[in-house]
Amino acid sequence: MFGLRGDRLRVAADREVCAGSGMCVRTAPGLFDQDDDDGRVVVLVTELRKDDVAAAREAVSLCPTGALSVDAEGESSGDV
Amino acid sequence: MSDTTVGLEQPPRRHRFPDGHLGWLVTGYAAGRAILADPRFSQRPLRAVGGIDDGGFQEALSGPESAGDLLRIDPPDHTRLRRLQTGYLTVRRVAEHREAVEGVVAACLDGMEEAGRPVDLVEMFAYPVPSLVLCDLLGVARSERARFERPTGVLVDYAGSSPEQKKLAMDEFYAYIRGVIEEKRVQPGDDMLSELIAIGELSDDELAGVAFFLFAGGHHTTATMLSLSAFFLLSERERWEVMRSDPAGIDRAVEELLRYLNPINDPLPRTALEDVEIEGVVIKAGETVALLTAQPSGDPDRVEDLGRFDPSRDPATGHLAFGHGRHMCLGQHLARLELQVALEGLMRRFPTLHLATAAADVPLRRYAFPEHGGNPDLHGVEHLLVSW
Repeated sequence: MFGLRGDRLRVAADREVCAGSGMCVRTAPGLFDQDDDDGRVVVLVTELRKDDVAAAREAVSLCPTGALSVDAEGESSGDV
Repeated sequence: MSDTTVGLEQPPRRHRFPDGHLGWLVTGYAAGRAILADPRFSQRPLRAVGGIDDGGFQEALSGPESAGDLLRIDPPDHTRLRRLQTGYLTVRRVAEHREAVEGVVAACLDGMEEAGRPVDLVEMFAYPVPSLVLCDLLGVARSERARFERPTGVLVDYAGSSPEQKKLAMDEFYAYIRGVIEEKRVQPGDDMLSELIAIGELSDDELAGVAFFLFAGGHHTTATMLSLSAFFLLSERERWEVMRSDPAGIDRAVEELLRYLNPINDPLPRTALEDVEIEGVVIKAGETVALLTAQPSGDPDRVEDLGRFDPSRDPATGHLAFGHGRHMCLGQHLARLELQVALEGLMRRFPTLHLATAAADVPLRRYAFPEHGGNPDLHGVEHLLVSW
């Protein structure tokens, strides 16, 4: 759906659900990092560039606790 | 090897455990992954792995120190304890340990050379590498590794050691580690255990349990994976040569070894906390689910031909070698680093490494109930005699 209506895609992380597995950092190191103290996800790039969309979606699907989502701006669903 | 996963893609089915309890057996990828990620399932052990007679294994781990064992607790305690430890094992933090891990691997390779061929790779390499790395992480002398290895060795000798021996081994370990904790409270070092003590949020029981969890979770598993990988690569020389010819592909190759060999047989049974519907069946509150995730693992929708070993495969396979959900392996990045550096080191130092016995004569730890002489948690090799 990227670019269909010029919508921007945004990455969101639910830090309460995050278990700090680091799978997102391994999958998309340019987009995610982990907090030094508790290992929880830090989103580095909120608004995705076109080239980053595939890696972001991969990170969403590999996250072990479903803590990540990619949505068009204004949408609330985390489904990809 | 044929594709062994196909026959396992079935819905959850009723299973009567050997202790008489009626629960569920889940072998399908999607259902297993969903259950591992579902907070409505508890990880607190109500019964032994698979409901079998485990020779007192679970009983020996049920003392007050289990409050610190991430594999045996649920939120909110699990969340609190995991967050305190995760900062030490992030992708970035682990990458900083590369040089130290290389040093440990080089020392173990030196030891093999000094001992002279043939050597048992399990004893001289696969166990010392993760054990010594963990000694450094926890801040205990490397000469103390036997203190940690002994209780694990007694515990996983399910049928070979008595319940009393298992309990005694754990009592000895906890007495030892409580002494270490006292020393570090007075004289902290630059290590994970000292810092966890200094935070002041963990009880002494929890600290002792954390130390056991980190060591037990980090050495037996990695050692098993490392020696099983070496056996797999050396038993068909082409695999070893292919991997040796592509040092840049080590990350992919290790990920594929994890996916393909996946030595974890059962990531502990889960218990439903409420009624949960999975693939059309309702698992009722209080029922136990055994998950069999061993076998070439991975998402059948993501990976072509799961039963084929392909070290150049895209590493994002969704394999379950490190589990899934909130209990996903805390040390997975450290394990990857150790496996990569160890296999690289072996291939560089001993390019002509080969099995010193026929592959068929290598003693295996098979997946089987203890009364059948097997091991219900990890499969691998007992010993691996190699030469060069």
